[in-house]
Amino acid sequence: MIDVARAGLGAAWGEGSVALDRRSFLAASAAASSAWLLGATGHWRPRPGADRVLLVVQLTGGNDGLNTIVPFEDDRYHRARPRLRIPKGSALSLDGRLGLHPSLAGLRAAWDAGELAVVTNVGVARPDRSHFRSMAIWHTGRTNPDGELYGWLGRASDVLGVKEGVASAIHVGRGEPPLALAARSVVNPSIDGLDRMRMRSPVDPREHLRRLREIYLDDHAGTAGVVASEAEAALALASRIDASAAKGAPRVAYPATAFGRQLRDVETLLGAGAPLRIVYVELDGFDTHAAQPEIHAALLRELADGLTAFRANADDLGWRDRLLLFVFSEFGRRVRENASGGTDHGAAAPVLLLGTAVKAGVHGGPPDLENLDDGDVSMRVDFRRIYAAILESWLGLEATPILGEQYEPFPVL
Amino acid sequence: MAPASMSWPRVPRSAREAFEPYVPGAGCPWELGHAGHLLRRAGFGGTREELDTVLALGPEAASRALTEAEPDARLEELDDALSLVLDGGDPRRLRAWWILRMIRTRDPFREKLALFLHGHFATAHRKVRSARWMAEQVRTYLDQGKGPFGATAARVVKGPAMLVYLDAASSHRRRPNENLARELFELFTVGRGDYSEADVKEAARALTGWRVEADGVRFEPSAFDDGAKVVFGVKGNFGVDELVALCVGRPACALLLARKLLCAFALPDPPPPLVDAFARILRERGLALGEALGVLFASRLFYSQACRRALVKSPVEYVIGTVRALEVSLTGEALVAALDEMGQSLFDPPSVKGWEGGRAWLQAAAWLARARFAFEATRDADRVRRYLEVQAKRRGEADGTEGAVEALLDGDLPDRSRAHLRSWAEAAGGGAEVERAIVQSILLTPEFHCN
Repeated sequence: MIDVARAGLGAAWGEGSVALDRRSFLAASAAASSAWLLGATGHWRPRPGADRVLLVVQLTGGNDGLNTIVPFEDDRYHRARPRLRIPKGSALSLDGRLGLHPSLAGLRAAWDAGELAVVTNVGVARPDRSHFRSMAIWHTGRTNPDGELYGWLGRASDVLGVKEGVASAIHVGRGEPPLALAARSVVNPSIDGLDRMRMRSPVDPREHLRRLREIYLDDHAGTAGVVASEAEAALALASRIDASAAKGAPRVAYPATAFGRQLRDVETLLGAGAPLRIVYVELDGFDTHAAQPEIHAALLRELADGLTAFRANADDLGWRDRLLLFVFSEFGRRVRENASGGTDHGAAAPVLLLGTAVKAGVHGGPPDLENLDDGDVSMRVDFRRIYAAILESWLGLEATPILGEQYEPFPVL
Repeated sequence: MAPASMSWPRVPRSAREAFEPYVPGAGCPWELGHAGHLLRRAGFGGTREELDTVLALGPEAASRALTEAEPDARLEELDDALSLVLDGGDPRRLRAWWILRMIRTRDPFREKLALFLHGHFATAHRKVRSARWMAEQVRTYLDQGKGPFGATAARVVKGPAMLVYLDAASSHRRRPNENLARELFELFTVGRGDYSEADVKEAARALTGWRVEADGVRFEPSAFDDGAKVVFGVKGNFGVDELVALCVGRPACALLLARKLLCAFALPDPPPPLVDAFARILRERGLALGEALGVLFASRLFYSQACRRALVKSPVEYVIGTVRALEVSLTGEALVAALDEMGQSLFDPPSVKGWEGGRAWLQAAAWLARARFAFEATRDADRVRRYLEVQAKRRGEADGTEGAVEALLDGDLPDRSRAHLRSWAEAAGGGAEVERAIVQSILLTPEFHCN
């Protein structure tokens, strides 16, 4: 039964241009899922590593953690931010002391279902307020990221390897591939829109691709060798995606933004059976030095709506238990607001994890606004402990070789 | 009839020797490949005539001719059209303007250096929201980019685009905004490790008082913090000019520039001794970028194996180079769209760090965009056929494939790939589609994407 189900999915992936409609996908996926049901609990827990997907959502620019997970009972918070504060009545209380920014109302359902975990005061011991260095620290998992070529997820993908010509980690979005995904032995691709993942040729595309591959597999020296290997990987990926684009509109609509489209593409890739383990998306715009209230509210709404749609549509595909979402930013922002209606670069901030596997709830207390670190929220949890938990409990990998040092996994999974 | 392909010398052992002039002679070849290398790095590649001119001039004279050229008067017509573009405010037309300049110019080094500075002092139209102010920045690079870096930096930092992009357009002495100060240190001048958080805070004070309005920049004395500041241990009542001069005068600034320039024009990951030597060359010339690059383009380092085909072509270099080489006729709109898909939207870099370049240009979607562009560039079957006929005739051969490899790649293609293309052409025996596919494939060889 398992083989028949897998064969159904396999036909949609990589062989010919079988374009299945959404209903067929759901049927095939359901058949596969039922084959995995086991045990007295009737609750499917996939083996660590196999078939689990990690979706990392990077909030780029330094998300204002204090206005995301709001310490609405703390007078110091309200005093430090006369213009920017979220009033007590507006915050959506999680545990009586911390509450969600009202724009994150979309995440309430996940909270009520016990599928949302918040870890507060996450950061590094000696915070760096430069976007690039701080992002590099989070991407590499190294206190000193200078000269580091590889990212934590890149190292993970070195271990996970390449299946069927497709790397196990992918970045969906515009712009540069994140350092987090840079790997030694595999080329983790960035894709921006599935429409753009196509080759064009005046002759038979398959024959042209074959001839180009012959050229790329020749001995090219130096930089040309690097180009050859990247070009070859790109062609392999294009062939795969071409054969497997899903049809049918998603049940829950995504935000009509780049971020929303990227989540939809992730859904398409996963729904088409792409053997991915790690997917990386970014939502940019959080560097709110000025005019923060409207900008931040809009971004958080986009985040909540996007993630909610993604989880709901993935649920339809039978992927409910196979997904873990991890939301982070390269630093928080200063406690005190500035004169431009915004906040400047700060330090520790909360991270979010969503999925059926999380230990739901708020982990850690509200930020200590009495004892600040040079005007910033100080760290209580080293972010590497979160990484260690994700690598070991979710991806089934040894964290220490990937992170370079031993960190005690934070008990959130 | 393959051209002699003597291997290029290794990098000289000492950094001082690396920047000595390259003198063609025994063991130091001066061939088609060298001329192509210089024209690709200092410009966007060259026509047959331009290659022959460079060959005749020799490395030193050719470098001078390229870096000391006067502005191309023929571009004035394009620049006149720019004012219409700016009134409309459409950033895509602004991109098309610059792309057309780069295609038509007879002074390509000016454009290449402006591109470098455009990535260095990165700002983005999507935040600045003024095509006029973005164009003003590029005008600064085109007009004075070859000159002393300090003057360029001062002008850029006080320009409306930069002030808006880094939130300094309303920075007040009561609560200074730190963004511009931080990036000035970290990205534009001295780089990490040369300044402290205290320096950033003090510099932010020095940058207060600027206001940007619809018609330009204004200085508001009442908003300016006119107290004494201490930056790099130096005390004074600094404003923006003094602050920029302090930063540019630091040895770390010359080092940062040296590394970035070598990465952009010479080789990736330059070892520290080379960076130090080039930094000295820059400092000796008051950080005049044009002069310093002139030294580089005539140097032993430049014509060593380490630099040969060592850099990945940026999308702009790939697209402009292809258009110039094949004399393709594509609309500005089409070229802008292609560059967007390859990851280089002029005037809209991904961040204040500009474009990372190198391997980052090669991720899957960007590579497939290059493949689709190669398809567009070879879409005109008649043009492709004529191009192949010219190449065939030049070499006295029946088929133009080898000639195209020589013209487009200086013959730099490994044997198996060459044989593969040749046998493909022979098997097809003519036919417009295969001719197009073959030229498209040459444009997709790894070497074609390496400068």
